Amino acid sequence: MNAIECKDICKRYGGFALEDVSFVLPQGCVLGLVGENGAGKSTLIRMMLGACRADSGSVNVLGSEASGGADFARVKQDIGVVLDEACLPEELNAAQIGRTMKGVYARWDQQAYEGYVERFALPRNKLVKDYSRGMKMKLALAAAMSHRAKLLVLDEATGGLDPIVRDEILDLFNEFTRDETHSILLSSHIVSDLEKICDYIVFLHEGRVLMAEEKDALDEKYAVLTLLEEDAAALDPACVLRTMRSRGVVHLLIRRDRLPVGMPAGRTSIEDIMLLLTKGEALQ
Amino acid sequence: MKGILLKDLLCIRKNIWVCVFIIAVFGLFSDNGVVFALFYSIMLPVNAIALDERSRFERLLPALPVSSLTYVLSKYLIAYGFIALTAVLSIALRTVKMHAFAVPEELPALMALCLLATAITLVLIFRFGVEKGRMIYMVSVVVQAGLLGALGAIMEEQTLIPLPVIGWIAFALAAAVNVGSVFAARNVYENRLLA
Amino acid sequence: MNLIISNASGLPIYEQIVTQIKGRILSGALEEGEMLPSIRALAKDLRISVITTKRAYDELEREGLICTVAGKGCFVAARNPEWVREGLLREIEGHMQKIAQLAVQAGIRGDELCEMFHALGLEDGDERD
Repeated sequence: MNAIECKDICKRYGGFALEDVSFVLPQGCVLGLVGENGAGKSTLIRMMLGACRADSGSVNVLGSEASGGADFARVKQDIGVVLDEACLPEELNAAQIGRTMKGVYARWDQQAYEGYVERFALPRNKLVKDYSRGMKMKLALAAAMSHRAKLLVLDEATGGLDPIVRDEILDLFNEFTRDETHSILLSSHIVSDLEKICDYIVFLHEGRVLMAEEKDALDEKYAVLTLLEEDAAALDPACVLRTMRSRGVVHLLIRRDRLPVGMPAGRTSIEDIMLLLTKGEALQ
Repeated sequence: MKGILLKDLLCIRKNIWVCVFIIAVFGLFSDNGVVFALFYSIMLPVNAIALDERSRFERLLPALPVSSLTYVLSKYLIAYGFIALTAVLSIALRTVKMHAFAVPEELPALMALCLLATAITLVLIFRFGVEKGRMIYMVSVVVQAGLLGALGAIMEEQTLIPLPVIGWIAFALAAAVNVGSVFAARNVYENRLLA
Repeated sequence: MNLIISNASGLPIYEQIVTQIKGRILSGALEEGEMLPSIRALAKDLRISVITTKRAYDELEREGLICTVAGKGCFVAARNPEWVREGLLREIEGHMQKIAQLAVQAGIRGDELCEMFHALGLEDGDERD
């Protein structure tokens, strides 16, 4: 079963549109949804939670069609969500949030929750409104991971956290997916986080999917070269996906398999690929 | 439902104490004080919704296994709970005063009015949000108080139907209106979320 | 399993895994019948994608170095030294063909190529374990 299946999603919304967005998150995997702010990531996630309707296309989560109704509400028992803001009730403290969640989730694991609260060193008696941003996110994460969820959905959840905390959290996600029935969808514009734990990367830009690949295959399939103008012109146009000119040199996103033999092309980071996909020009 | 209700009750615990205090004070010192307590009951769900808005909890709500009907209904239940509590207390107080079981005659009519206010206010708040909703609520209270006064005067003049019976009829009508209101509120809330 | 994966090495990660496990199997560090960590456990321990570890294991299985028993796990296959050597020979031949192509493009002659190879320092007449 696929944890998430998006098929041909289209939505027009004010000055913004999602067009023919399709991708799959196979069960047991981690998928990174990359894109700049406004690319459509949050809208897609809201569709996956049934909070937003697509104009056309379908979204299936954990085998059921996403909707705002009571049937899908049952599926959400298996989904843990963390948004870019914790959005937790501000007048409660950690223990009270735990009691609230216990009444909401059928499979609430109080021990796990207390374990996370302890591990994150969250103050027990402070109200959420007195928490720092980092603490709020950690609490939200603790709650999301304490009801035996099968799918974690994180919408820009790691932004604003310091690198040590982010690393800790990525470790937690790593552990979470040791179980092959557990999956994670991580949307972010902090590419380095995605590079560490994702199995698949989907690039979203202005409402369209520019690329959807296995993360490790990205570096095998594509390379980013920086060449002088003349050398760039000598390349076979069929292998060049994007070009970007800056400071007298040309950056090119190319397919490795069409590269002339012997041309050195080093490792590529997702960040470089993303930059060229979004800022570079495609050849005519 | 359990979780959401618990969250709301925990969040508005200060307001609950105020409400209990008002009931106690007015109940002890004035026969009609219960009226104030009844109307204050509606502020409880309104405050719960206001706190949710401030925490931006409604962003998180779609992520939870809670249907919009459950969320909306929980607010109505808070109001009903306190209306019921106030009614029971006012019956108890009157019974004590009369040294025999007694129901204040104006109670059903007042509860009916309160239920009506709940039905209207909550739908409006779910539609327009708390700020504007509060304003609308104030206006509606004034209008309803005025209507109550006018109707009350007319009803007292006539002798066909005894007052308490009118009260119970009004109560039944208000209850029916509430059922409609809950579903209307759910639709309004969903439309706002799904936008 | 303590494998060392380097992002800077220039080799795809799955190749690094294949090479290291293969090396250990051929050298005897991993014995016949020994159970390997599951694809998922290995991925999580190394902090890499399960797709990559699966690919590495698939490759190792294709080369006959490991075998998967459904429901149980992956095990080091019975070693057939002859067979393994043949596989390696085929690989060498494949690489040699590529080298030859490149040499032609660069205009390098056969004897120049042999000199370059001797400079690598492989001893003559030795047998490698």
